[in-house]
Amino acid sequence: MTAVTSPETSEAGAPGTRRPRARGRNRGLNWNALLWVLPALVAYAFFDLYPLTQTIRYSFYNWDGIGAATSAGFGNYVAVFTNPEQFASILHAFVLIFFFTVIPVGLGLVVAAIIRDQKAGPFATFTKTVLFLPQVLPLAAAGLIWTWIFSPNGMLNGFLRAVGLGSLAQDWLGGFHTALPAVGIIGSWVSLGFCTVLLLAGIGKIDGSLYEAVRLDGANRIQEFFAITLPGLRSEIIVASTVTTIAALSSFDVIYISTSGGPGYATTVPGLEIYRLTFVSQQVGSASALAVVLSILILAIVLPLQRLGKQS
Amino acid sequence: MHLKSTNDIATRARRLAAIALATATAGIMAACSAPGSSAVQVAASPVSTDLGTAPITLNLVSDTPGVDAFKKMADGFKKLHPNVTINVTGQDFNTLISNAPRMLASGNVPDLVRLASFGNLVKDKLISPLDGYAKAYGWDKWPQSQFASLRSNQEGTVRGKGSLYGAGPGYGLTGVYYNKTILTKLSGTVPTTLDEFEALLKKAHGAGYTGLLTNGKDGGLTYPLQNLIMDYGGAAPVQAWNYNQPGANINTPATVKAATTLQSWFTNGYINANTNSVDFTSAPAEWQKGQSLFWTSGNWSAPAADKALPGKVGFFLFPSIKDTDTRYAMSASLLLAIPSKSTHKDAAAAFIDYVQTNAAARQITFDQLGLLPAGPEGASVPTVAPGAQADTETQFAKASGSDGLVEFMPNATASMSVSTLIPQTQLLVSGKVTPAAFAAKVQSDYTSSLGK
Amino acid sequence: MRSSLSARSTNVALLLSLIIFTLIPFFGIVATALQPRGKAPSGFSIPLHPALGNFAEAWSQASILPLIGSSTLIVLGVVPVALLLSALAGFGLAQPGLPGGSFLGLLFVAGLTIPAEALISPLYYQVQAMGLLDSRWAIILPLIALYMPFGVFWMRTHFLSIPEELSEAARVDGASTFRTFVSIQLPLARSAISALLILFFLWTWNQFLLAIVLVNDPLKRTVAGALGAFQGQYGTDIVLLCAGALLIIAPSLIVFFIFQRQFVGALLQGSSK
Repeated sequence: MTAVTSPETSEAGAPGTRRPRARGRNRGLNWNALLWVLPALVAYAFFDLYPLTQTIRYSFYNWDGIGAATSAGFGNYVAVFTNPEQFASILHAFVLIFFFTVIPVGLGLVVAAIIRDQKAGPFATFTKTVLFLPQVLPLAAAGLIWTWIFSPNGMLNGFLRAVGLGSLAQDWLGGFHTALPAVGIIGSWVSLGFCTVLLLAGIGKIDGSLYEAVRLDGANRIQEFFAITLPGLRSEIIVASTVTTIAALSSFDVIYISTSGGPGYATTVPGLEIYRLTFVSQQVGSASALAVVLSILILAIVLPLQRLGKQS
Repeated sequence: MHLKSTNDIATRARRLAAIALATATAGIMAACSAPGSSAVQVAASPVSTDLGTAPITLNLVSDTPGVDAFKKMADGFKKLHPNVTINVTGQDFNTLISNAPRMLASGNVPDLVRLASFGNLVKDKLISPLDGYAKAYGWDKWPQSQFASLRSNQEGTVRGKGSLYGAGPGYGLTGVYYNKTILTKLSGTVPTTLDEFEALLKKAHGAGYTGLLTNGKDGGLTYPLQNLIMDYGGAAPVQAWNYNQPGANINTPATVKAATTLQSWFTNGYINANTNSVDFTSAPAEWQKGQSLFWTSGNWSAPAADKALPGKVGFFLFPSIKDTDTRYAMSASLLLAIPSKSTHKDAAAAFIDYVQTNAAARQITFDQLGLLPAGPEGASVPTVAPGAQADTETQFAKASGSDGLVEFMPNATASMSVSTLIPQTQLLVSGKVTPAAFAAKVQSDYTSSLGK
Repeated sequence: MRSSLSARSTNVALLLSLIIFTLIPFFGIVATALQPRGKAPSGFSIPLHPALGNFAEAWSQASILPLIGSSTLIVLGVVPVALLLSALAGFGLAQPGLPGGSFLGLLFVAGLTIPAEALISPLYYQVQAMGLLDSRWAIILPLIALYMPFGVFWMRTHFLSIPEELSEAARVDGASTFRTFVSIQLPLARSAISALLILFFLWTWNQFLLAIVLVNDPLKRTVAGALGAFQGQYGTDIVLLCAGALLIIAPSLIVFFIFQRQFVGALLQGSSK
């Protein structure tokens, strides 16, 4: 998907999903229902599935995107794993999962567990509104804002100097060790509020008597967290992780705007490499192979996450 | 995605995988036929300098900062040719360069387009050779060195000679801006040798200034690097490499030595420590702070440099090892090309001639674009107040008079700048790659990208 | 229930620190946008003499109005059609006895994992072959399709949640499926559809990759797509850049503030089961 941020939450949110879908299974086939699906299916097949087959097709050629192509066999796929720059971009995407997913979901869990029962009211509404704000921005704008915050004369260094930690001030996006975490923080900022609100909503659904029961058994808050909260939030955690992991692996906008992959190759990600290989180097074949690998990786991570959600 | 309503998720997962597999299979089947088409075939049209009287609308696509200048030139052109209207549109430079090949292959091409380099455009026959117009307008009687980087063989594999594929209003020129106030404070003079230059860097650093301001985020480190390579090994091997001549190799002792020098400058603190996050657009803001002695950039920055610190900025060519050696500078034309599919080639060529020869247009080129106007010997010389920009004019004459103008290394291949030189120079100054590894990597990327 | 004072103040403090973390960048960009032009501001400082003129300057320099107009056209092209197709297909997929229903459902769901990067270059050639390159259709048509996996899944989930008895009753009354859909199902789906509407609006408004690749003329792009060009052009002038960025994100923020109840509420509907 494009701009994967908040959307998939809905699956948790959409009402009544626990209803058995087997109803009507024993009745006759309803061919008319196909007509309803057809327009969406045509659009989807034409601008989504068909291009995907084309990407797969291009990936077996050396092609500059315009002239004649020559066969490449699996060469472009070999390059994804042997070309250090391409392979590094995949590794970076996995590092970003830590910032886009682990930190926001982890922090969100902690906050949700402590607050647990948020009273409805103006403050609760205000909180939700504010925490959702980063979701509303174009990712490119988030990149732009944070580039300024992280710049050598930016807000972060200004703050550090003001509180007497000037020695820590540095060129955050220009440093080899700090650039990828800094870009990651941008992702954390975007996802944190969303994950927190989602988890808060989930924890509100857990039956309060369960907590009282373990409390009576003498459980402390940590035990309570593992016995009740964590299992109770399983589906919300899965949803939040899925959405943010896809965002991490297919990130492009933020990096394109903030670091362009630098310094060196420190913040390259597959999305950026695909864009560059296609539009700068004019190596459409290599770009397509990387795109296919990226899609498979996303599928390979999302599927087990879904299965995890079902084991209970 | 999240399939709450599923009872048997394992089955679902298998089905999903099956769909993925089916899609992949479909793709592989489709792969039996190769994508792309053979090159565009456009019949050579007769060349004419007569634009007639029928109304003609030309579309010119420039990078955004050039829009104003081209609009003014278009207005001037319309006074001479009232039937020709030129629509100027602008695009972000990087996007323009990235989109150019597809734009020129599409059904809706502009009549004039600003390019940075030819890439595969000549090979794919997307831009027209201009030799006929060069003859008709007499460009072939002008000093020809200015056109060298605009020539290519018909296969698009070797540049520097062959047919002319573009021309434009003016030339870029790289060199070094200096802050006169700081130079005086350090009781220094404009350096004439590399040793003097380096000594001043050291002095500036000792006095708490930045010796050399560079925009390493988007390739500014390649300027001092290429100059050092040419100082140590001469310009000919670099130019051969830039033009993709067979067997050209940049992995030379000169490159390794140049990389070593550049690395030591950074390690010694002579180069701004934040170079990896300073880009082309933020460098003038750094310069404005008045804390940098030198700034390697091009004449396109001259109007901004003068404006930032009025009366306090000068410009000189990067020093050579000995005072008597040739002083080299990187130079490239602001290149306008005529797409093969343009239907108004005559009018487009007339505009290219106009921007090179018309006195008012040449003044606009100089004032607004900061570039040295192209054109014949003895053409009108733009007037300018004393300052860095005036210096660029005299320095350009000096460099071109001694054959010191060389194409930019980042233009050697389509991906050389973004995929190799920018990240590799960043790694180099930060000590993440050795000078030897740097030189080897630049060459191997070059070879593999030409091989594709 | 814990409701002691200390517990409540811990909660408030926690939430406040989250809120501050979320808002600080916004304060930073607003403060910077209000600094006087012409000097490079550093660090974080409250502007003593807010230079509101910066916004006027950015407004005209960055062609904000044409850009907003362009984005609006794109939104109008994408959102209604995408909503309609999603609702129809969602309803169809929720019908009992749909042949190949579970396969079709999965086919759409699979689309959620395809990153846009994997489609961008074929899309380019496809749009080009249709002669739509460089027009807003180049963004509109693919976006409608790219929203289908999510939209269809969302609407299907909604329609599955509607008690079957409702449709049954209507059917007994002799209403056609279409009548049932229009007069019973759609009104019931209002909150699901309005949530989807807001999401589609935001994704379209914020679309970046398709805009920069498929449309050359910045004035035919989305505002988000214009951001990159804006950065390239005014990177020197951080004040103007911040003012422009604020203007660019303002419409999304306004829409969000107006509809935030529906937005947050819809996304969290599951909480009230």
